[in-house]
Amino acid sequence: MSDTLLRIKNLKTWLGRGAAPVRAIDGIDLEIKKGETFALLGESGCGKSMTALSIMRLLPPIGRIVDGSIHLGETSLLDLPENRMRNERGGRMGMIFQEPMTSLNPVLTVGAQIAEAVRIHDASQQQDVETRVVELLKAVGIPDPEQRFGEYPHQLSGGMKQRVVIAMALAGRPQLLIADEPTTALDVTIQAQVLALMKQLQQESGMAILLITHDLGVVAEVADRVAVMYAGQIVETAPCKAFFQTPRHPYSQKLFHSIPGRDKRSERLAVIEGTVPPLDQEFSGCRFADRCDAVMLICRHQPPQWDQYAEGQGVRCHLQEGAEAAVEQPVSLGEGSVAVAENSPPTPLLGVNDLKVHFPIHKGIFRRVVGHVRAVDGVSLEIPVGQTLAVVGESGCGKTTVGKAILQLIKPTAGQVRFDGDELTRLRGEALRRRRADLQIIFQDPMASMNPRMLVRNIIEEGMLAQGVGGHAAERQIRVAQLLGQVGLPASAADRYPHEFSGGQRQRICVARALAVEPRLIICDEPTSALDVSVQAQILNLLQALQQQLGLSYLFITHDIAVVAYLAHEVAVMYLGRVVERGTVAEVLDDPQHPYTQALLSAVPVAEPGGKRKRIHLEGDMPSPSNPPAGCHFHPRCPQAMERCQKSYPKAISLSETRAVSCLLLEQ
Amino acid sequence: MPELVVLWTDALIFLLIALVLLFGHLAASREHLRAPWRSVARSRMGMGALVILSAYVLIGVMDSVHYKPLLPEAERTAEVTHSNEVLSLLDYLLTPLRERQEKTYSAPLATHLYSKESIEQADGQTVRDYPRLKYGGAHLQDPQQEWASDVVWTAIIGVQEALLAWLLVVGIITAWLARRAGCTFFQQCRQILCSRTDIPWRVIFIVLGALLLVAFVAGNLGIKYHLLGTDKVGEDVLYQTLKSVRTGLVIGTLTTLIMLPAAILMGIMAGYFRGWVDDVIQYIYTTLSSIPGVLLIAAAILMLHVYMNNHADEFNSLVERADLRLLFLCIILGITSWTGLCRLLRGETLKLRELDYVQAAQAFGVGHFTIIMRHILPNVLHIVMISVVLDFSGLVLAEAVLSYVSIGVDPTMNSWGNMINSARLEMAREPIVWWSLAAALIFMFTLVLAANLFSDAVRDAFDPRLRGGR
Repeated sequence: MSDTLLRIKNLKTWLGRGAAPVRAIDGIDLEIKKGETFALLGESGCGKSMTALSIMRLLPPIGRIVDGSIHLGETSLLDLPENRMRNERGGRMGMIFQEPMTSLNPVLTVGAQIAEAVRIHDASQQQDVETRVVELLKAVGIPDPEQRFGEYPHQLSGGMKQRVVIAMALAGRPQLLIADEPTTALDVTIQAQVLALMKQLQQESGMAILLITHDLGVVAEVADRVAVMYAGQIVETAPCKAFFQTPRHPYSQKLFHSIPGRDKRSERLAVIEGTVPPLDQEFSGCRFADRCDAVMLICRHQPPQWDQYAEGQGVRCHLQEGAEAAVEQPVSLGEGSVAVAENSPPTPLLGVNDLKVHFPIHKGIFRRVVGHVRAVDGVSLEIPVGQTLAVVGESGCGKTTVGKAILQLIKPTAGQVRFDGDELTRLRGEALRRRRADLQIIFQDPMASMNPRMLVRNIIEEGMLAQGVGGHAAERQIRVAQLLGQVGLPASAADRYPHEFSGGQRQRICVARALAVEPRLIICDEPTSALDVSVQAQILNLLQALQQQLGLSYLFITHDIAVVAYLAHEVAVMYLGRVVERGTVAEVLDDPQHPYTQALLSAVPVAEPGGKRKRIHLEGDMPSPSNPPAGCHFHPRCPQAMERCQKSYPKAISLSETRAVSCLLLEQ
Repeated sequence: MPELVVLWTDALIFLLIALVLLFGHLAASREHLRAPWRSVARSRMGMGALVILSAYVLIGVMDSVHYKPLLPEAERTAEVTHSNEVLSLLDYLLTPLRERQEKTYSAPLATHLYSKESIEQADGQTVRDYPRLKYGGAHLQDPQQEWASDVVWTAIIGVQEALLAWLLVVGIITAWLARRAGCTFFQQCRQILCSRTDIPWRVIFIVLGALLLVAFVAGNLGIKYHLLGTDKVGEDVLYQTLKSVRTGLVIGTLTTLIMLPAAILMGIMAGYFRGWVDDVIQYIYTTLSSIPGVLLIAAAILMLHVYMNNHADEFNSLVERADLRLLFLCIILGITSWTGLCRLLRGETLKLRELDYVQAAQAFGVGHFTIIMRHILPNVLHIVMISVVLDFSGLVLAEAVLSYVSIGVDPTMNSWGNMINSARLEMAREPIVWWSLAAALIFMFTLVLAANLFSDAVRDAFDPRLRGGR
């Protein structure tokens, strides 16, 4: 057993005292071997982060470890006095947090922050701290490390910051690196860079990584072994490959089924009904029983035991054999309606032509305009009735601004937005107000998009009142109940406050609010990116069903390719304020032509381990839209850049009726 | 019938009370407003402070009901039936304190004056000695022998009365609580004693007990003696300090009432509309806050002074004149102090207007005014609440400072600032007269401390960052 680095036995961490403490971690056992990557997978609120914090003994003041043991090598971490524990943190154990922005102190230089870690944890380098820092910066792939040493965090991009955070964690030459959702806040291309870096560092130094994530794709990409957490317990452990081939626990299986993708287009996604049960109770049965399709009588009143069926593999479930057969097959939707939508000659509902949104940059006391942030710089789109156009791109490419400019929430600088014959950019006052009923928006964060001080009823009624639809009070009441029913919520939800609902339910309320004014086009601004996979599936199902029932058109803004493949009819890929490639889903996803699209698609982690795909690694970050590179905006990062690319921005080349690509490579 | 007189500040105080009641009624029906106040009601510190504050408010409100008393039968004529003097309900209750005026300084609980005078004795001889007070301890035959035991006995009687009153009040409240909870009286008593109740009744009762104790002992002693001594013209200092309570409260509350509309309106407008509206409002408040406040106050008060002197006939009584000056001081303090809140609200609104629900409302075509009233105002109300409560104690202290440099309230008006101002000379006297200053300081200190503790509790309850912790 000498190759075991970290051993956790029956760890229990409770939050709060009182009569009903929250049992955030309720008896988990796990072992991490030297040099392996161990992934801890689960939805939010399952106790993943609490596990990491318990190992580091950095629990919040209300949390306490009530039982169990944690051994790092031969040391029992829970028995160490605080001053010795401080040496372990950052010494033998390093930690990376989710948000690189808040992990660095903005008033200290990057070098000083890494040097601090070196001074504390690396006794051998006391004489020459600076050299060691530069060495670390080089190790995490930061170009020009001597110069970066003296820079402040705000001068670095998100990906660079996360590299600095990793460098800090490496300063103590840790044997175990705990990474708590290290790439969730990053874009896909940057995520690919960081994951590759972590893998490479692991090979060089032989440290073990405890990777905490909710993303099956990331797991498949880097993990050696996987543990699935649910409601404070580990429900399944398996080597990565075996896990992806035959997930044993119904929960793991459901997770796989709920991932959207091309092959599931005409099906409803499998959803896990309900939510994670509140953890402030003693469970008398299986914690997953209420949401499990294969639930048996025994599940209700006898907690399942840990079943170790092979070395390093185990599952906590009453049914171990024939589990797959019991799981409900995804329900197929009426094939016809989808086909009709795809075959009928599309009549454009919304037409956007050469849309530009420039934000002026003011400087000096007289607020002179010294430049423009070209957030959107000449975008043309078309959305036919009853279809979905997905706008894809990394953060900062201007996709959200396009959505808001179409809604006239931000005044476009130039260009036309035609909606059903009206030119929206020229409408003013009352005429624009009346038009607003036709276009609605659903936001990313369902909590921030509802006034916490209003009842759900008032939230849904707001649009009806503003638009003067829905009749008098009693009629509106009926309509609210009907809308809530349409999005799958009970009518009693109307008299509650938004905070009483879970994330997925809140997003349903937002959909109901948008539907209240009977819109024809809904702009969905990353409506599922703040939600867990299983909940995301619920919302995607809902949106698809509504499209078929009501003939809605969607402008779907997202960075998630899997969602695009599942839901969209057409795709537009944006880079730095411009559309670089446009076409139907099949055209773009199967045969990307623009080098950026190719790189973007290849960077998306796929939930299939060992899938050998051609990887295109993009170097660097997206340039600032206030100062875009001359010529093709993409050429500084483009692996196939030519000299001509620096000269002028390539024109859109039409490859078919639906397809257009802006790249010089295609001119030949 | 005495004739009711409503002074400007009285009217505003009652308006304020009406507004608070209205807000309370509104808050009771909305969970998001009720929840933080419920957590204030659970804070021990907050409720203890609230009991003290209520005592002050009671005194202040009683002092805000003004009337002109009827003249005695003999002096009445056909036209003039009421006295020219304006009194308040508090004056009426404190008549024994108000009317028993000595000649000059006397120490607390003294039986003799503080300075020697020539006294003509029965046998025609004149001696220089401390003369007996006209009212203080006048019932004593031989002050030297009887004084100590009389003071102790009076105090003990006061304690007994306080105990009785306390038991009565506590009994009534406990019985009411027991009925509401549906348990027996003694069960409820045990609950309170072990402080297992939601609202910290034990703390409330203890503070109430202390308060009643002080009140009854002071009441009993105050009738027989001058509990806190007398000032230069022989007026009872206890009476003066009690009258000063209203001045402090008026300054602390009316100023915020006056500045609130401007601060809320301007702050939200600047943050919501941005552009040139924001520029104009920002210029106004940066300009205003760069003028030294004291200078502005001094100029305004002096201008008012000149106006009053030129139009002396417009004021029926000294009280009305002093009242107008007090109101003016509130207004000018309000004008100089709205900028802080305005700036806070502007920042918060800038943040809120970018939130998705405001954008969603705009996407529905909801009007600007409705968005402000429905989405912005309720979400900045906690900031308003916190800053009002926090400002209160600062304003009470500001009054004292301003009166000290004699640009505060009218010199004829009772205020702690004026008392401290006159103590300047008393402190220079030999032997020194300390009780005026001490009385003003003790009363002011208690009020400000209670207000600060209460505002702490309010801030904790409304602070969204702390809310998750409980």
